[in-house]
Amino acid sequence: MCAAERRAREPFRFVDYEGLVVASGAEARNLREFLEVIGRAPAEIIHHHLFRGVLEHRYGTWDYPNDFSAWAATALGDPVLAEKLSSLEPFRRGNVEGARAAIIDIVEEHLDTVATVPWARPGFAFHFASGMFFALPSGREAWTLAELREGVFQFPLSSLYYHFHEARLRGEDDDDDFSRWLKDELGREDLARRLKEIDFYLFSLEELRQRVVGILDGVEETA
Amino acid sequence: MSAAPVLDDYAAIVGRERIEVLRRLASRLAGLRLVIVNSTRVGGGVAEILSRHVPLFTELGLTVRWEIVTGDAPYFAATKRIHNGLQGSPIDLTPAQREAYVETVRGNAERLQLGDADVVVIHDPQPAPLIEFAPKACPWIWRCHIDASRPFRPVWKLLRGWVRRYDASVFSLAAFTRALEHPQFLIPPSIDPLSDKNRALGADEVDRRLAALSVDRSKPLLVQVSRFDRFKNPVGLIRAFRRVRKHDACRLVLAGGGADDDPEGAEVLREVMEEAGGDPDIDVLSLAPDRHLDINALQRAAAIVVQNSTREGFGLTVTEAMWKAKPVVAGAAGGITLQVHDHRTGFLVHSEEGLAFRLRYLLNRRRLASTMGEEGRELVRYRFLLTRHVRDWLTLLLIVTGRTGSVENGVEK
Repeated sequence: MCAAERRAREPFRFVDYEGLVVASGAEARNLREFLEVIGRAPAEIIHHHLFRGVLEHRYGTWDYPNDFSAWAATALGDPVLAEKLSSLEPFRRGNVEGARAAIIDIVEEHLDTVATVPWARPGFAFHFASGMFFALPSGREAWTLAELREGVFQFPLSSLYYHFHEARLRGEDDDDDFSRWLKDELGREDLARRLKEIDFYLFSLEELRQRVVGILDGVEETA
Repeated sequence: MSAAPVLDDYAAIVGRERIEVLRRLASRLAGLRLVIVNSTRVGGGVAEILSRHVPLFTELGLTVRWEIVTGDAPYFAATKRIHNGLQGSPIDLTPAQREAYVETVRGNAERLQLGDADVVVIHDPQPAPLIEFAPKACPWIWRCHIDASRPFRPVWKLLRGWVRRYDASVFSLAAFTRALEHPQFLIPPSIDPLSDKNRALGADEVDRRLAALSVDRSKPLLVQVSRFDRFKNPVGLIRAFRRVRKHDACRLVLAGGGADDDPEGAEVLREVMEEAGGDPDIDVLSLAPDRHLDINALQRAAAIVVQNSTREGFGLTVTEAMWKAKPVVAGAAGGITLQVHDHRTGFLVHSEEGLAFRLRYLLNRRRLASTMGEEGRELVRYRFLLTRHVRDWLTLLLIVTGRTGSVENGVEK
């Protein structure tokens, strides 16, 4: 494993990613109310529910990749709508406004097909929220592939989210932080490409961690 | 009891790195003077949480002062009414009771001297008016533990006059938040896995403690642990239990204690005793608030833990049960819905009939009950342990004091 010994000129710097959810006060008890709020909600709220829901879940029981589809399934009891909302690909849609328009299309079309407006079961209204999140230097660095792998394995999952999910929203090249560093510092375009191929929006963070570690170990994860 | 746990003791449960994150966050808050005010040091979930937060914040380098508001019986009678009103009961607060409430807090403001702080955190409605009477020279945060999703409007209107003066508020879940101009942060509470109530107990100790409580274990135990409070619906649970017993052999244990700030407990306990009517399959245990090991043993001895709440702030007894790998059948109320996931960690129910049905369902599916219990334990490990809670509070303190900084390429800008 000569490549594992190669040392970077600049280290990979792990960050701590911390934050809190902030309630907006807006709620939807049925799908029509949901549609109304989605149309006017600030972009940060759409962003929060599309992306950060994954921070709430650790294990593989990650049936729905965003808060909207999870609500459709568990609160409205509407698997058809849940399917459609699960199929959103917000990281490939370019921006939150594109995702908002897609959600509105899906919900409007769905309302056209049902006889009555779906209502949430009692106690399960959709509460729209945003987040106040920030990154802090952790002081932890990786200079080699082995050290990067160890950091991914050990660091809190919120850090993985920052380096993998948030990185795509920060950068212009649709890369995660790990891929960028592996390419630029270790010349490992092969690993970078395999990381980029992960269909990460479908995974819980723990599942994602296993996949990333598997790739860095040179072991392909299979479903 | 052995010495109180320190941060390093939690590494074996949540991993070393999570403890290091707490230290890194706290390093930006070194010396911060944090004042916390609530209404009781003993009894109830809030006092329990604070009794663990304060030493850990101190260990992390913050300068913490934990104060309680003191008052007489009329004050606590008024605050209990306000509490019930926030949970939706149409209560009548007389002008005299309102005055007892406000004037008692005014007296406390003079006694507590809250001007000497970097951040002040006020818990629940009892001390909320302090912000009117104390000098305000730093961020003030109101932490509401109550399910205030459908409050009795006059009570909320009264309280809102003080709450809106705070810089931020904290609720356990989004459903409890109100229309306020300041940011409303969501921080679920937590349990301490190393406390007497939650630490591992050997089978021998569980046996010994249940024997001392005279709890017969010849049949599977259904256990509800909670204060004797109408919102926990213990009487409804007894009725549901009688439905279950027609089909499946089991016993019911209702265990709870009072809190210093809850004058209604004795009355509800009498109602429960009356409904139980000396039934040999029902144990009603009124325990002192410090009987943590007995509660621990009862939860561990349970086949199923029940929380039949109709309103619930969060439901820490549910968290405790899940940490002990027990399936939970609970009312779909408040924070319980964050913890009990249907068919995963237990069942949410909406009626006595539903409660009885799910209890029968699980009594006849022991393997499923065990799997649900294990999944519940892992959910608690990730989301509802003390270390996560401390991290959230450190994060909030960084936000309200403007110490979050920003990062580029992993380096502080």
